[in-house]
Amino acid sequence: MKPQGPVAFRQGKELAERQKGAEVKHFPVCYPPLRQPNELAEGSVFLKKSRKVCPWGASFGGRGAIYQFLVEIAPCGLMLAIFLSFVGCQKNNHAGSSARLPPTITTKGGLEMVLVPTGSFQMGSPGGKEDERSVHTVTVDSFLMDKYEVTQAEFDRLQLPNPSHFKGPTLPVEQVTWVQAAVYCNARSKAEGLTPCYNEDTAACDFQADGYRLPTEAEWEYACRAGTDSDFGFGSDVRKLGDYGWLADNSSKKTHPVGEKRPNAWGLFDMHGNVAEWCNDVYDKDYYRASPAENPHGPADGKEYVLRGGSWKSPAEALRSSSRLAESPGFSDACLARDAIGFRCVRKVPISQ
Amino acid sequence: MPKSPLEQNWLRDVGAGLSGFLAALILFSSGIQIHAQERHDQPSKDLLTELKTYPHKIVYETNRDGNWELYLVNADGSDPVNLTRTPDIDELYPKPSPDGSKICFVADEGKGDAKKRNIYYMNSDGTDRIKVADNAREPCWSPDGSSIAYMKGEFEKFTYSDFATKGLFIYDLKTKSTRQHPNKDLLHLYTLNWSPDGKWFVATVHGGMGFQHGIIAFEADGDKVFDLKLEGCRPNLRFDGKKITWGHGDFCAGVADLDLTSSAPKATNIHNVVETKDPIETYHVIWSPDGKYVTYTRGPKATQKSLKGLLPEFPGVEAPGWNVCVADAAQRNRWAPITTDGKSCKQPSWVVVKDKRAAR
Repeated sequence: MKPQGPVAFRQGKELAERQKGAEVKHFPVCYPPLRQPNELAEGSVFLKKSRKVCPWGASFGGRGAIYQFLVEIAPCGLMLAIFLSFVGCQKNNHAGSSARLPPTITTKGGLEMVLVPTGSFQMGSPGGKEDERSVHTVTVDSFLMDKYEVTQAEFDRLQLPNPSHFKGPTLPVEQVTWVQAAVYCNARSKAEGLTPCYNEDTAACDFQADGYRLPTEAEWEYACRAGTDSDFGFGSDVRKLGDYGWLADNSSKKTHPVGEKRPNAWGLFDMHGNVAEWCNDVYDKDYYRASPAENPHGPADGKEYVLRGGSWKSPAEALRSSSRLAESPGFSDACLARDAIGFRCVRKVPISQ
Repeated sequence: MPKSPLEQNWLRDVGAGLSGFLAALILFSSGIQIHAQERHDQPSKDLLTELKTYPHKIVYETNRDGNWELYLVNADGSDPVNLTRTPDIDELYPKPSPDGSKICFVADEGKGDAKKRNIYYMNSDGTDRIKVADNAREPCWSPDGSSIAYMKGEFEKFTYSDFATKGLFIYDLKTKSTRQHPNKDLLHLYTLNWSPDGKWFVATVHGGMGFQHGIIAFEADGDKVFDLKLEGCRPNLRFDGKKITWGHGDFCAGVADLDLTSSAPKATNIHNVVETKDPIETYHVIWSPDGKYVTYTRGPKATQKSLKGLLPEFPGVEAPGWNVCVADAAQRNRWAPITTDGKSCKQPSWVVVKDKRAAR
C-alpha cells in the first residue's frame, strides 16, 4: 500500500522534537497513512502540546490531533490489535517499554519483530562513497522487521543446514548466501502458515505475499536510520559505534550473540556490524539516480545483491547507515564462505487482518 | 672496492646471458600457458584413441528421462549400460569398491516431504542391491572393501545441500553392523575418502568443526583433524594415497602431492591438470585406478535464478549440458569427453577391471 497522506518523516526537526520527549497515552501506530484529508479536526486528546510528530519518528504532517487519532491512529491500533490476536502474536513491550519505541510483536515462531512505521527519509549520503551520493527522498510503507539478526538456533528450528563458521545458537547465522537466506524466509513463512514471498523456481519476490522476505535496501536503510540523518543510527560520533555494534575494532575477530549491544532508536539490534545483512535488492551502483520515490524494490536484474550494515570484520566506515556493499547471491556457488554475511527478515503488516 | 675491467666484462657477459635465458624461459613458459589455455575447450582425439584400450570402466549418474540412473561405460565412453533401471528411484553418487566388484551409491526414494536419501550397495553389474543406511549420504569404501563409511543426514527433512551431514558411521558388509567414528563432532562433511593405508579420512567441510570451508584430513580411529589448506572442494585420493585431486575452484581440477605419513598431513606442489573458463565448470575429479588419468565432470554454470538450491554439482540435481570427461593426469588440459548427450552426466568414478579380457 502506498502512503497517500503527508506522513513524510522530516528527519532533523522531528528527531529534535522526539528527543524532547512527546508524551503519549497510548501506542500511536502511524499506520496506515492518511486517507481522507477533509476529515481534519482540531484539538488534541492524544498528544500533549499538540506535537505533530509520532513519538518514535513519523510526522503527522500538520493535521489536527483528533483527526489523527480518529483517522490514523485508532484504526491502526485496532487493526494491529486484531492482527495480533488473530495470528496469535503478543504485543511485547518489554524491549520498548518506553513509549518512544515502536511496538514489537512476537511471531508464531517466537521471534520478536518491530513494527517500523510508514515514513520518508533521505536515502544515501552526500559525503559517502560514489554509490551513496545521489541522495534522494524515499517513502517506505510500514513493515515488520526482525528485532535481531537471524540466529543459528532458527536454522536448527526449521531444519535448515547451518552454514556458519562460528557456531552457537544465539550467534547470527553467517556464511549464508542470498539464496539460503531466501530459502529460510520461505521455510519460516510456511512454518507459520503464511504465503511464501519467494518463487522457488525464479527467486522472484512477491511483495504482496504475507510471508517473510529480505528487506529492500530502502527499508533496511530507513530502519537503520530510525529517524536520523547522521552517519549512524545513534549520531555521527564514531567513538560511540562500539556501544552499538561489533566491528573490526572490538569484535575479537568473530561474531557475537545477537542483541548484546545497544539497539537503535526503534529498538532494532545489530543494525551496525556483527554480520552484514542481505537485502532483497539487486545491487546497482547507479540505482539511486533513477530509483522510484516510493517503496523502491531495486533494479530488475544484476549479478550482485546488496549487503548492508557492515560486519565484525569491517572498519567503521562500512557500518554507516548509508554504506552499500554487494556480493554474489549464490545462485551458482554453493561454497560461498563469507563468515561476515547474515541477514534479518521483514514482513508486510497484514492490513486485511 | 672498484672492480677491474676484466671483472666488469665478466659480470656484464654473465648478466646478459642470464637475462637472455630468463627471457627465453618466460617466452617458453608463456607459450606453454597459451597453448594450454587454448586447449581448454579443445578435446584431445589422441586421448580418446588411447582410452579405447584402457581396461577400466567408469560409472556415473545421469538423468535421461526424468529419472536418475547409474550408467557404466568403457573408459572411452563406449557401450553404456544402465545398471539400475528403477523408474521410481533416483540412484546417484556411485562409488565402486577398491576391487571393482561392487558399487555403493545413494538413492533418493519417495516424493515430496517423504523423500529420503539412503545408501545401498550392489554388484557392479547392478544385481543384488543391499541397503546400508537410511537418511545417509556421501559413502566411501574402506581400502579392503569390507566396510562402507558414510555421513548421516543432519536432519530428517530432505535436502540437496551436500554439507547437511552430521556424524560419520561405518557399516561392515559381513556382519551388517554399524559403528560410529570415535570423533562424534564430525559435522558438515562431504565427499568422504578413506585413505589406502586405512588411517585417514579426507573430506570437504563447510561451516563445521571450526572451519569455514576447506579440505581436511582426520584420523580414521582418532580425533585429530588437519586442514590440508587446499582451496576448493571434493577431494579424491590416488590409489597409493600419495596424491590428491580436487575441484580447485569451480573451473579447475587441482592435483597435489599428499603426505599422510607424517604426524601432520599436508599437501604440496599444487597445480592444475584441467582448467576451464567461465561459464564452463569443472567438478567431481576422480583418479583412475593406476593414477594415469582423472575422470571429471564438465558443464555450464547454473545461470537460472532459483531457490531450490539446485546447483548442478549436487548429486541428483539436473545439470543440462554436463558430461563426463577423462583427462591425462600428467599434462594440463589434455582431455576428452566420454559422454556427449549432456543429460546431466556427472559424479563419475572408475570401476577397476582386473581381468583385462573381460574389459571389453
